[in-house]
This record gives sequence, structure tokens and C-alpha cells, in this order.
Amino acid sequence: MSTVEFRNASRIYDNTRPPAVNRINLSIADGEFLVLVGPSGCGKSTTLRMLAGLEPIDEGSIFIDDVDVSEVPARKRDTAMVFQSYALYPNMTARQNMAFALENAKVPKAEIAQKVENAAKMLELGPLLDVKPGNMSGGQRQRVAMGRAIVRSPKVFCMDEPLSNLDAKLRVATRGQIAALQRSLGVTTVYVTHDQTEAMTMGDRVCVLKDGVIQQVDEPTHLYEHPGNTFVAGFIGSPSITLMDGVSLEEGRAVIGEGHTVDLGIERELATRAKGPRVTVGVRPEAWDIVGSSANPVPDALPLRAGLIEHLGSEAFVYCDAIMTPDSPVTVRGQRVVLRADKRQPITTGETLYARPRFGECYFFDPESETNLEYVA
Amino acid sequence: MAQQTDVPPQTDPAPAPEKAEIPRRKHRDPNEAGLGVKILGYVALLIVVAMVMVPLYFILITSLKTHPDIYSDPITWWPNPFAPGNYSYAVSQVNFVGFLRNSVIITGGLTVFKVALGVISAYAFAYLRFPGRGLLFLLVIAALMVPDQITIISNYALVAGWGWRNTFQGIMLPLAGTAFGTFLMRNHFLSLPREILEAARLDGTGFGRTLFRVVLPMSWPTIVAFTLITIVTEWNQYLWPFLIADTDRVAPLPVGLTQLQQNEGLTNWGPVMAATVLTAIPILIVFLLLQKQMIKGLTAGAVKG
Repeated sequence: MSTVEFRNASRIYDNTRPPAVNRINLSIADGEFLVLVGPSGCGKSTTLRMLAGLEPIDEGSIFIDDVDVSEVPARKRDTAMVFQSYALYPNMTARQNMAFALENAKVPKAEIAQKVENAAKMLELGPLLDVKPGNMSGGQRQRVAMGRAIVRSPKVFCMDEPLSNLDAKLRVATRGQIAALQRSLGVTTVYVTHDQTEAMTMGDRVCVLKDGVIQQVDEPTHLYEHPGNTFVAGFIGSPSITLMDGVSLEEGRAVIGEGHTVDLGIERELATRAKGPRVTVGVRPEAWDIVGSSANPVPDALPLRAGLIEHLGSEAFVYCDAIMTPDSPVTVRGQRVVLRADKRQPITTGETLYARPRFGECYFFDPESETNLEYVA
Repeated sequence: MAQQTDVPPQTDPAPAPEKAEIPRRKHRDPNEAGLGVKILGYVALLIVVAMVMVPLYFILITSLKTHPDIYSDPITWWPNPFAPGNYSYAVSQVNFVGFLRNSVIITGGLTVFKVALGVISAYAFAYLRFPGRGLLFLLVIAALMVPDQITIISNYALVAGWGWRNTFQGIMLPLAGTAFGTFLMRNHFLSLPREILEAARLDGTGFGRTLFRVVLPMSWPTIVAFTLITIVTEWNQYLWPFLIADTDRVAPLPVGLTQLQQNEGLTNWGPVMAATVLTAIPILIVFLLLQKQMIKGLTAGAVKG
């Protein structure tokens, strides 16, 4: 039962280059499941390793239960880690792997046996207890690694992409198990992943990192619905949000350009926060309404040419090129507009579509700072 | 997430046979083109095997030949008559059992000492951070480059000054340094998966306990290889023991063999070769016992690989 707090914590490998982790401030409540997410190289694993004591804290400090642990060696921090590679001791059976930390701590033998039994029951490891890791499947090793962390009843669980070596189906199943287990144990958990689906489904809160800097920390749905900046908007959600630069504001309404007077319905209050005449607009795939086709053109909608179509069974994602008028100041980032179509809506590649974002489902960002106008004071 | 479901099923059977053919053809290519090369390879192989095996074969048959048979011209490839008496002669003529005992003591002691020293120093070099670590390791590597013969005079002066001539410690101490072992084991330790050592750190494993419970169990193949190399080297140690041991009391087998050779003016190669074969047998046994351990990979299952 522990709280964790990062205060201006930094990790600087090389003074001539930007820090790997840059002045992070983060409070994690007792029993909370916090997910650190970001693209590779964003410093999420380094942050976790700093908490576990495997990386030094070059500046700032980290508190566990209001005690500064910045200079405390890893073995005295009472954190348990589940590694991406599982890192089981190959010469020991599952039982010995799980008991090892307790033996080191000189816990009485009967108590160790009891704790290992309990953890094994929780993780359904019974028949594997006397098997060595070499003879286990990936999923089984993963469970032993979890067991090794659980038996210690640590203050904090640190999990470094524990599911990324599992196959897709097992990953989904284990995802649910880990989240449920964490809730029943109530141990404060910091979980690193690059998979935004894991981040969205598992965490109480999600912390998005980029280049060692925290972009936003929030509950998953809030993060999705109110992204702090274009990076968060682009990172969270699959397929990615469509970002359009250079959308002009006229009379409090965002207008895509000459000839495309698509009303995006910006709120008056937000429009007043924009510093310039133009904003960056983000539209999620599910926020588009397909309102017309080449046979049935609609004037106040965005014309699109359908490219790749991904049929997922229940729905389909259509990757389109936007057909802008030559004088339009609007550019689409990545040159792609992604929209979700109902499976009952037949769309063929090369077809022209007319689509319009739903009112109130667009995000507006300051083009300079890329911050969501909702957060601009 | 499930983008791959997009693939239409009917495209599957058509390209499959093509795909299967291409790698097969590629696979066959080196074999067909390499027939001449293959023959050449086998010939080269035979030559190399012959270069190694013929002298060994000659040692073996010479150990079973009579004295005139050995010096017969042209040489004979099969002993005629068989003379197993060479073996009993070699064993009885010199203090063979005494030399064997000395060899076992020297080799055993040195091996234990060198392996322990190599492992411990390598463990420090691999996992301890201390000032001058890089420089010190450079010194170890430099020591690898110095031939043993260069240090013999100073070592002799030192050991003789201590009055350690004709003692086991006099033979063993100057041979006990192991730059090679430190180098080999350190590089092996650094190749172990870092996460496992981090896991051990988080599990609260002490420095020594990490060595014995985590690092060493993953290192047996390398340690066995190192042990084997050490045993062979020390068993065959000749120059230093020859210089320091004047009597049979502490001299090992290779030194004893020379006594056999110089026994009577003309060298009687039969008993010398018989003793050589006897000297090689213990090492052969050790090899057979340990080779399985050497091949066995022990990191399997540690990390997903």
C-alpha cells in the first residue's frame, strides 16, 4: 500500500544531448494502475527503471510512501519488476524462481512455501511448479514472472512491456488477467507499454511520454476525448486521428477553405482562444459522417477519394485522399484521412466520397504550440 | 489490431506453390555447383586429419614395437612383433607412479586455483565498478601477450631465493596467474542477459550469492571449457617444472619422460612412447567426461530468444 511520486526526476546519459527523462513530475496514488505509454525511445522504460532503482536519478528525486528513495539501492526499495524478457533464472524451477527473493530475505521456509502456493493458485501455476523455464511456453514463463513479483508482496509492481512477447490472442487474455489481478491485490503498479490498446484498457490513468517529457496524464477515456496536444491525439486511438493544418476561423466557425465551406462547429469560446486566424483540426475516424458519393455530391462536405479499405468484419476503415481545391490553405498531415464506415455501407477503392465531421467531435489545436484549445487559458 | 483479416481467401492457394519452389531452388544451388568444391573440401579435410592422426598413430605403434623394429628401414606401419613389454618397462624403469602422483597434484591444485581466480576476478571486472577498472583490465590483456619464457629468469631467482626449489609451491605459484581465464570469463559474464542480473538485484540477492546462485549456474559450459583448457595446459607443463624440480620428489610426468629418454645413451623410443601414451590417457578420460557439459547450453529458457 504505497504512493509513488516523481519530483523533477531526470535521467541524463550524455550532457551534450537532451535528457532521456526530462524533469518528470508525477504522483501515483496508493493502489493505482498507471500506464506509461509512448513511442520507442521516449524514455518510458528508463522512467520505470529509475523507479525500480536500476537507473540512477541524475536530477530530482523519487519518493515511495513519502520517503526519498533516490539514493536507496534497488534491493532495498521493495519494488518487484516483471521484465519484457521475463528474466527467469534458467537453472531454477518455477517454485525456486518464485521463492528466491524470499529466501534472500531469510523468510521462514514454511511461510515461503505458503506464499508460493498461494501465488501459484492465483496464477494457475500448480502443475508447472517443478518445471524449469526452458520447458515452458512463453505464456507460462510470463505467469511465473508475475508469480515471482507477487510472492514478494512489494510496495510497487514495475512491469516493463510484459505482454509484448506473447502472441496476439494470449496477449488479450493476459491483459485482462493482469488488470484483474492488480485490482484484487491492490498493489500500486507502474506499467510500461508502447501498445496504446493496453494503455487504454488496463490503466486507471495513462501517462503519455514523448522525448522524455510528459505530454499528458489522465484517465483513458478523458485522454481519448480531450487530448492535450496533437501528439497525444495522434498517439492514442487506432487508426490515428486525422489532423488538418491551416483551417481558418470565420465568424467563430472553422471553415476548411475556399469552395469547401465545411462547418466544423467550433464553440465560440474556443474560437476566441485561438491566437491566429487559423487552427489545426483533429477528427477521429468514427467522427466522420459519410453524407454523399460521386453520384450524389454534397456541397458543404469534404470530398475524398477512397484508397485502402480495411474490413474488420463489424466495421471498415477507409484511408482516403482529400480532394482539396487548388487554392485551399488546408493540408492534411500524412496526406491521409481515415474514416470509419459501417459494414453495411459498400465502399470501393477509387470511389469519391463526401464526408463531414460530426458537430462537437472535432478537436482544435493551436497551430504554433499544438496545444488543444480546451487547455489554453 | 486485426488488419490482417482483410486478406481475401482466394488469393492464398495460387501463389503458394511458386513461393515454395523458389526457396527450394535456392537451396539446391550451393549443393549442385559445389560438387567439385565439396570433393576438394573432403580432400583438404583428409589432409588435415592425416596431419593430426599420423603422428599420434606413430606414437601408438612405436610404443608397441621392439627396438630393432623402430629403427628398421623402410619404416614399418605395423609392429612386428608386438612388444607390450615396453609399457611394463617404462613403468618399472622410472618412478612412473611417483611422477603421475606429482602431475595429478600439480594439475589438480593449479586447476582449482586458476578457475577460482579466473571466475572471481572476471566477476569483479564484469560487475563491480571501481576506479582504474579499465586500466587494470588492459594490464590483464597485456599479460596475455607476454610469453611465459620471458618471466622464467626472474621467477627462478625469486622462487630459488625463497628456498622453494623442489617444492610443489615452487612449481605451482608462478604458474597460477591466469590472464586468459579472467579474460574469457569476464567476456562470458558480460554476455549473460542483463535482465536476469537486474532481477537478482531486485530480488535482494547479495553480491556473492548472485555469483553462486545466478551467474555460475548459467556459466557451466564456459567454466568447463576453461577448466579443460587449464587441465591440458598444466598437465603438459614442462619447462618450468623441469627447471625447478631437480629430483623425482616433485617432478611431473613430462619431466619424468625425459629421464626415460636419457636412460641409456641411445634413446629407446619404445618405452618413451609407451610412457607418452600412458601420460595422455588421463587427459583423454577427462575430455570424454567433460565434453558433454561443455556443449550443453544452460541459458535456454532464461529469456525469450
